[in-house]
Amino acid sequence: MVDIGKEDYAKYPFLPETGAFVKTLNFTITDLLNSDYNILENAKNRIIHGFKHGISPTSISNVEVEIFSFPLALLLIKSTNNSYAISKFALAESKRIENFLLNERQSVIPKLFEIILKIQPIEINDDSIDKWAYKIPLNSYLPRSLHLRGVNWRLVNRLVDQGFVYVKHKELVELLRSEIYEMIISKLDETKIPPSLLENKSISKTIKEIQNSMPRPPLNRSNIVFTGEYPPCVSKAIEMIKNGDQVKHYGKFLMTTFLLRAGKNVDDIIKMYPTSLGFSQSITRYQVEHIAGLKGGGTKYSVPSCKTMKTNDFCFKTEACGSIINPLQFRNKTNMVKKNARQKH
Amino acid sequence: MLDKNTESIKTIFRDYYKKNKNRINSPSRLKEREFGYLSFDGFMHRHISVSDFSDFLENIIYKSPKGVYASCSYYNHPAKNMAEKEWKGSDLAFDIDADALNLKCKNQHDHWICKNCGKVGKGSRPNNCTKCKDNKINVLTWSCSNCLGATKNEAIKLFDILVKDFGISQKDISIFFSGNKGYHLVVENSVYEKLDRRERREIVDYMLCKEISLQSLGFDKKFSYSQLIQHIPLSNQPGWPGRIAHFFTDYETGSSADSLNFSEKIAEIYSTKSKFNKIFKQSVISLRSNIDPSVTPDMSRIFRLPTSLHNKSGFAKIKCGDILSFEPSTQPVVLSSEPLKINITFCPVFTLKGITYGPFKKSTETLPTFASVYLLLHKLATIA
Ligand code: SF4
Ligand SMILES: [Zn+2]
Ligand SMILES: [Zn+2]
Repeated sequence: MVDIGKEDYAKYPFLPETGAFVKTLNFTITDLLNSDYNILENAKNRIIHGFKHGISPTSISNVEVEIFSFPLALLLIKSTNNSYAISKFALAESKRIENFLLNERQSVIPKLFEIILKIQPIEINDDSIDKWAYKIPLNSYLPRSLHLRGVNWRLVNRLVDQGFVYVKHKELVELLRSEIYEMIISKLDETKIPPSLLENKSISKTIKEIQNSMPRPPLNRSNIVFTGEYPPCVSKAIEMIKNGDQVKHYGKFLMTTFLLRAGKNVDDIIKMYPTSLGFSQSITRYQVEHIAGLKGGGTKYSVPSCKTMKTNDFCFKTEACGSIINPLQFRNKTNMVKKNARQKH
Repeated sequence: MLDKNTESIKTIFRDYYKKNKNRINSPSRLKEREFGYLSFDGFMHRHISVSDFSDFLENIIYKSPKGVYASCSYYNHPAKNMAEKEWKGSDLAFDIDADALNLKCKNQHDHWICKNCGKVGKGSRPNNCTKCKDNKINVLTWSCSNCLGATKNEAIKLFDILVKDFGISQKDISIFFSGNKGYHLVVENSVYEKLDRRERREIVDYMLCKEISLQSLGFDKKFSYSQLIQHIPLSNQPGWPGRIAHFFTDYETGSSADSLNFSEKIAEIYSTKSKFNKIFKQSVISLRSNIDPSVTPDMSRIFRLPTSLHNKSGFAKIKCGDILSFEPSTQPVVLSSEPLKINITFCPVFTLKGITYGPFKKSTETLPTFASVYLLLHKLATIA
């Protein structure tokens, strides 16, 4: 038997055991707030530390406090009603989990991965291939490896045997990054805010504090709304994605940054990917959110210049582009051009 | 209106379908697949759904098309247009074609024919006819036992990788002779049917050994000798590392390296970069399966229906029971042996069912129907 204890509940809030444990103790929010330990303070720190450092604190001084501060943090962050802050929190929490997984003891890893991956990775105990720690089925590997950069992720550079792909421990954690994030998001979705919550003085005070330290979203989407026609490169990327063609990284990157600047949100963009062609929703979401700066360090990406698009072989310049240096400057002047052309003849 | 030659071929095709309709099997998941056919007037009919296969065959006999096709994909609505079909999954399909292998024998048997003066030349086409300088030139790609052997070899390698590396059970893999110069391998397996285009592309790159990195195989420039020995793949390992290591250990360098043990031998070769790179390149070329990279990821493609006729040869696409003993110039030759008189403008030598024909130049011959149709379809002859 794998022995999973209270400390694991604190590290991995997605474990079914964690949920069961919280339930058996049958605490109410008031109990939590009145406890001797400062659970509310811990929940608040979890959130604010995540805003600042991109990762929730990874030291556990009191197991019970950690266990209870997670559901409380969910309530707090959800009460802010700020989708950007909520994503930041989910990302910081998943980073924390990744950190624990990387340092986890060998005996519990298969169980943890089974919960995340929904299939059990098989441990390798063969000296001749000792650099690999696990193998996972090919069809679980492919959709996850595809969006990872680096030649070592390409299937041709993997040991593939009998339908399984061999991976190292650290790589397994990397492969599961978007799933871990999804699990936090689904915990947030499940969280219902009791109407009485905000009546509590210390709670509403904490929410205020959180709101005050909230990071500002990287883009102000509301005031730039693009109404015109898309530049050729963006239209091309959109068209290719709709047809299920493989779009070079730069094409997708351009399309996403451009549409975000044009006032579209993450969901609008994800909807452009046809699910019928087998695109994985969660991976697309991960990529789009990453570019939107909601993930992976929160870098704000700007729309690449025409020069960059040319170097990356994704410029489809037409007359209408004229001498612009960034696709954002594109205004369709084709009509004008046509008029001039007619005058000449 | 079809010309006389086309009319004749159409009748011969119709007779074949009439006689053989019971031998043409319904594909699995019939109602979920898209069907199509290419009529002799050149029009491609697609987005056809079939609920009763024998009705479909009756229609094929009636229409007598040049080619009959079925999708490798399954859809909720196979008859709707691409965007509305609702994709459910696809067989994992591979195509191997002799023309893509760039074989040396092509120079011996491929020809060009000037449309203007009728001049015939060997090998790849020149820009302009060497006689009249006209640039309207027909290209004739022919095949020989060497081409057919080479494609078969690629198919065997592919089959092997599918079974060993991908763990696909042999009973889930069908190998078909394409009906012309190559093979189709089709995997029907629930694990792989949901793969999307990009995932299928990864599999293609795997088969082609495309951009395999030396570092991931254990050859790191920064390694010391002992580190290298430790990391060099062993020939009993699975996948590419094992196959490539095996190639190296079998390779006879003709030097003292041949007497060393496996890893030491490879390390010794690795110490001379140019030699190593040369052998490595050879290993990749001989071990990979040279599949057509565009076919596998294209799930909207329709494939020739097994047991139907190929429009460029008049041979049937057929399932190879045992690929090793399969005879590509005999088994797919299914049209009748009734004599058929034709006027041949020109044709290189060819062998069908163990009998060698030609070469012919400006002659009238009476050949078995299958051989005459072969030349008619290549536009090298007309009905006499
Ligand atoms: S010139 Fe700029 S806007 Fe026009 S297609 Fe090229 S990259 Fe796009
Ligand atoms: Zn000529
Ligand atoms: Zn040949």
